[in-house]
Amino acid sequence: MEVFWYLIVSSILFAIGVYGLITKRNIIRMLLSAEVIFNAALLTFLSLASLDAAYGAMGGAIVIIAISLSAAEVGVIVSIAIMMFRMRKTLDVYELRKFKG
Amino acid sequence: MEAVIWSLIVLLGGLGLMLPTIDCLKESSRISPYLTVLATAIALGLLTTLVGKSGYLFNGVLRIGPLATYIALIATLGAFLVSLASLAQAKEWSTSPSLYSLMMLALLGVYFVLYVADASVLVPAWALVSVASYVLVGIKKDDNSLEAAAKYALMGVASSSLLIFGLALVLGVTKTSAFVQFTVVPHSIKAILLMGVMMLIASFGFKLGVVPFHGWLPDVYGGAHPLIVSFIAGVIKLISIGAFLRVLQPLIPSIQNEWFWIMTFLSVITMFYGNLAALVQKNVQRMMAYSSIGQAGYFLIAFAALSFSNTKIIALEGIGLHVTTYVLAKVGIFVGLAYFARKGFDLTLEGLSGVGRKLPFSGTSISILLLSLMGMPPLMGFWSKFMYIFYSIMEVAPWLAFLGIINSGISVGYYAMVIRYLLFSDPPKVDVKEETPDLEIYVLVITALLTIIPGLGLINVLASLLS
Repeated sequence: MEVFWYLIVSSILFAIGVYGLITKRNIIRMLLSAEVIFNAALLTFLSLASLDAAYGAMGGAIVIIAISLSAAEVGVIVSIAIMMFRMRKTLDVYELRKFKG
Repeated sequence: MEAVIWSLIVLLGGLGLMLPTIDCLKESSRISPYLTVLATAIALGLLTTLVGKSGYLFNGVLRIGPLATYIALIATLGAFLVSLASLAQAKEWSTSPSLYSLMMLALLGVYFVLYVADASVLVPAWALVSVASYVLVGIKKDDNSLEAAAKYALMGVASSSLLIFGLALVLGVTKTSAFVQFTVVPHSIKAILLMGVMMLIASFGFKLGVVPFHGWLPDVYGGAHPLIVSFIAGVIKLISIGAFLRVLQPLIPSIQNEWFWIMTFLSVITMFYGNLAALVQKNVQRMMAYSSIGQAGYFLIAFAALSFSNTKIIALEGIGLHVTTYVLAKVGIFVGLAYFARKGFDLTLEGLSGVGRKLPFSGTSISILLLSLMGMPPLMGFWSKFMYIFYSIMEVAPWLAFLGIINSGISVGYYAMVIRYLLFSDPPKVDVKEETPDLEIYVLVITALLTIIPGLGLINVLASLLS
C-alpha cells in the first residue's frame, strides 16, 4: 500500500501546519502554516483519488482548480499584511488588539 | 432553467467585474451604487422564475431545488436591502466601486454554493465568496476593519484548507465528485468518512460561527463597519448553511448516530456560549455578534434533526424559515446600527439610550426585529424557532428542545436590555431627527414589515415554498 505512506506524510504536514497556526503570531508565518495545511490536504486528495481509476482524473482536476484558487487567497492575505505594515509598522497579529484581554 | 442561471452569471458577474472600470471612466458621478440596486432587484425577479422547480443543470454539477431557491431569494433580498441602505452610507467612500463590485460577485458565489451538486463547483464558488468577503471586511481601511480583516482572512484560509481536506477524505470514500445519496459504508472505511465529515463540519462551522471555531466572529462582526457586517452576516453566512444542506446532508444516512451526537454537542455549547457572552457586552454591535453565535446554535438543532427520516422534512422547513428570520433581523439591526453611527451616536448601550424616542421609526423597527430574534409570538421568529426548529427535534430528543427554550430565555435578557435602552430611557439632548432622504429608515421598515406579515397566518404559504 503505497498510499498509506503518502497519508502518513500528509498527516505529519497537517500537524506541522496546525502547530504553526496556533503558536505563531506573525501574519506571514501564520499564512505559511495555513499553506502547509493546504498542501497536506492536496496530498491526501491526490493519494486517495489515485485509488479509483474513474474518479482519479476528476480528483486531479479538482486539485488543480484548488491550487489556482488558493493563489487568490494568498494574494488577499499578503495585501492585508502590507496594509497592516503600512498602518501599524508591525506584522504581529496579537498587537492589533487595542484592549488587551 | 439554464438560461436563468446564465443571465444571473452575466448580470451579477459581468456587471460586478465592470463596475470599477465604469466608475473610473465616469469620474464626475458614481453610478455603481444605483446599478447594484438595480442588478440585485433584477436578480430577485429572475430567481422567482425558479421557485418550485427542481432538476439538474450543466451536466449535473448544479441542482436546483425548492429550499435552495428559497434561501437564494432571501440572500438576494438581503443584498438588495444592504445595497439600498449603502446609498446613504457608503456612496462617498473612496473604495465604494470595489465594494459594490465585490458585493455582486459574492452574491453570485452564494448562488453557486446554494445550488452546488459537485465538488468541482463547490471549490471555486467557496473561494469566490470567501476571497470577496475578506476584502469586504477590510474595505473601510481603518484600524478596526484592519484587525477584523486580518483575523477573518487567516481563519478563512484555515477553513478553506479544511474544506479541501474534508473533501479529499469524503470523496475518497464515495469515489465520485458528485454529492449523491450514499448509504452503504463498509465498517473499515467508516472512520475515514467520519474524519472527513468532521473536517467539513469544522470548515463550514468556521463560516457559521460554531463555537470551537468562532474566535474571529466577535472581532469581525463587532469591529468592522456595521453596513459591511450586515452583508457578511446576512448574505455571506448563508453559504455555510447551503453547504451543510448540499454537501453533508447526503452523507447523514451512513453516519446517522454520530452525526446526531456531534450536532447536539456543538449546538448546546454554541447556544450557551453565544447567549451567555452576549449578556455581559456593553457594546450593542458586539452584543449582536454574540447573538449571531447563539442563532447559529439554533440552526445546529435543526441540522441534528436531519438525521431522522420522520423529523427531516420539518427540520428542512425550519432551516428555511429561520434563515428568513435571521437574515431579515441581522440585515435590519446592523443597518440600523450603521444609521445610528452615521447620526453620531456611540454604539454602546449608554450611547444609544433614548435614541429610539428621537428616531421613532428606526427605533421601533429595530425593537420589532429584536423581538423576532427573541421569539415573540406573532412575529416570524416565533414560528421559525419554536414551531419549526424546536418542534422538529421534540419527537427524538425533547431535552434538546428544552435546552433551546432555556437559551431563548437567556437571550431575552440582552435583547430586552437593548429595547429598554432604546425606547424607555430619557432621550439624548442632541438635535437629530429622521429625514425623508435617509434610506436606512426604509430598509428598517421593510425588514420589520416582512417580519410581522408572514407571522399573521402566512407561515404555511412560506413553508409550502420549501418543499
